[in-house]
Amino acid sequence: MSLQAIAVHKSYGETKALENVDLTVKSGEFLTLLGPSGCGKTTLLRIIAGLEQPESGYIHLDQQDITRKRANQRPINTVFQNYALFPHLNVADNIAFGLRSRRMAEQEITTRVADAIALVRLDGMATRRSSELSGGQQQRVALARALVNEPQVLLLDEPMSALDANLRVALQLELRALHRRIGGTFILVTHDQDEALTVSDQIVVLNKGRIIQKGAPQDIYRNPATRFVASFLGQANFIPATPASSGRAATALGEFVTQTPISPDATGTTLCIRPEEIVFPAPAEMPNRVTGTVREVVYRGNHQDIWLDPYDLRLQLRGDTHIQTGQHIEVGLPAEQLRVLHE
Amino acid sequence: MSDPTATARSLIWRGALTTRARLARAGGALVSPGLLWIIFFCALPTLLLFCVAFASRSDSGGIEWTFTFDNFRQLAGYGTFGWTSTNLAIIGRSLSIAAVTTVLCTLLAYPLAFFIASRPRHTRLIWLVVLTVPFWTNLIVRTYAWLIVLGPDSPITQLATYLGFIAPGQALYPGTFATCMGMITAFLPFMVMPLYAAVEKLDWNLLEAAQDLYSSRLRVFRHAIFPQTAAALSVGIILTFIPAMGMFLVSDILGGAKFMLIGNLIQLQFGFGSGNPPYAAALSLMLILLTLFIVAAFARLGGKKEDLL
Repeated sequence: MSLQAIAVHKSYGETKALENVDLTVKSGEFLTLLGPSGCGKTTLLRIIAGLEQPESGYIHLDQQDITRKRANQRPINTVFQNYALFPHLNVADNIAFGLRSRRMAEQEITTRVADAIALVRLDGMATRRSSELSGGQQQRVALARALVNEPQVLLLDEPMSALDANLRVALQLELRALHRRIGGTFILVTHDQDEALTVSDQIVVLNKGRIIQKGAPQDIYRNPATRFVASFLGQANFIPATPASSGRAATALGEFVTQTPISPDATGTTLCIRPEEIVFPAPAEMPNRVTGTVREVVYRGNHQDIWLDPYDLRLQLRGDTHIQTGQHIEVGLPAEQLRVLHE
Repeated sequence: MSDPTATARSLIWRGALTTRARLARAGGALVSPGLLWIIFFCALPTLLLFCVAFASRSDSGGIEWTFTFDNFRQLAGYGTFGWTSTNLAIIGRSLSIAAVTTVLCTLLAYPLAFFIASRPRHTRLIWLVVLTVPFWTNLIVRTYAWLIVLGPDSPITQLATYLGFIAPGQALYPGTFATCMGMITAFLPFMVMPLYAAVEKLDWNLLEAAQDLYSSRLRVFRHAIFPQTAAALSVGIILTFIPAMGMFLVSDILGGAKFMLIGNLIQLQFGFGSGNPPYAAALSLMLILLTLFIVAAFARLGGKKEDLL
């Protein structure tokens, strides 16, 4: 089911949590709301869930206005950040909770709960108390408890944040597989860029209560709309630039040919290039060449991070490249990857 | 000023609290005043009460140490003129007044606890003080105040008259209603305080999860609020029900001459000269056992008994 947020505003006292947020989530899409803490992503999720009311704006589900519907009337379920499992109920009763609220026949509940338990691979755990489960298992129960209701939209509020790194990656892959298998619309909130890149079809980057950019993970990574997006999703070098003759960009490192010509009247322009896009050694015919001294080399196994003086230019080279601190090197910034960002 | 962690560290360093024997000695010294208090002012009097309950009334209205079961026979309703239901009615009335008081206190305390807990942090204290201010006044004074509030000239009484509940010129006391009002004012804070402490620590995520999972308000209470406040509620019930069962002051002032609770009966019978102290002792024992039995039933509510008793 498609979900729309239309011109949503929300503020807490003086702080604006959401400002004029418009968002469309297509049916069957796995969308991630990505942003730093306090960017409004959780507020937006809670407004979609019905746990909070927007000051103005609307939430439409499948063309129908559900803004004034309470949380218990929306066909939307949430996996809460700390799972919020009922401690006095066992796994099966937790999962059955939503179905019992809607007074489904016990026979049907039994089948559905059994299916849900199998879906999240918790077989044999039905009678355990939530306090007897590990973090990963609790997360699965929370997931099953939401999915068993066959929600039109599933909301996930930083569901991995309490888990350790290895388990997190495993569960991210599992979550993606689950989405592929059962379909449905998923909206995930996270501040973890890797998680966003791993699981989503679409990423929405938020900052200070506004949507900055929306797109597929590849698009956002390759073509960040702003400096904030470029730095929040992956690493990037930022080089302040001013327009020079013939559409070139003048920088402290020299004049560069860029992806798109820099407009002559632009101010506050920054060039952006990702560390792995910088070429070493630079071919002789490459236009944007920079010479520098290697200030720092950090070996990371499959690659190494290099910082060049002057200007602290960061690049990423293969792990087996021979390079040393103090070495003078010439690197190339490919024009097709040297993006022009306007403030 | 001395830093508590530094003090603790020096204690541990000197080994003052680190060996089992020292700990037992230090603990024993700290515990003994309380223990002695309990022995002399609780255990021994109860034992005395137990003994007196099997003694007889002397002609002058005192205690005569001849063993008898008469007091319990009288308690069960068998008097000089055969069986009467008077005592049964008094017990029944006491139970129902205590139950009604406890239930109404609970119904009032939950919203109140949520209201106070939802205030901004610095105003919560003000509300808690407002709640406890009546305690700075003696219960007798507070109870007498109800005579004015429920008196024939008060707006409440006039409203009740207008609505046809009572005849013109009458007061809303004496009676069950007035007694309940008095009891609720006496015990409400004892219910609100523990509930407020629990509500303040409430995990709101569970309430939201319940709402998210299509729960009605009742179901949210049943599965998200109640389990989290059950322990506090059982503390509140104990703090309300026990004194309500033994209450005689409020019913004395607001209940009227014919309105007798177990507490009033015990008070009456303990009156030397006119009363029957052994009979009063038997009544007291029964009250203790009855209350213990009911409280034990409610203590299970909290799940973990060690939290309560």
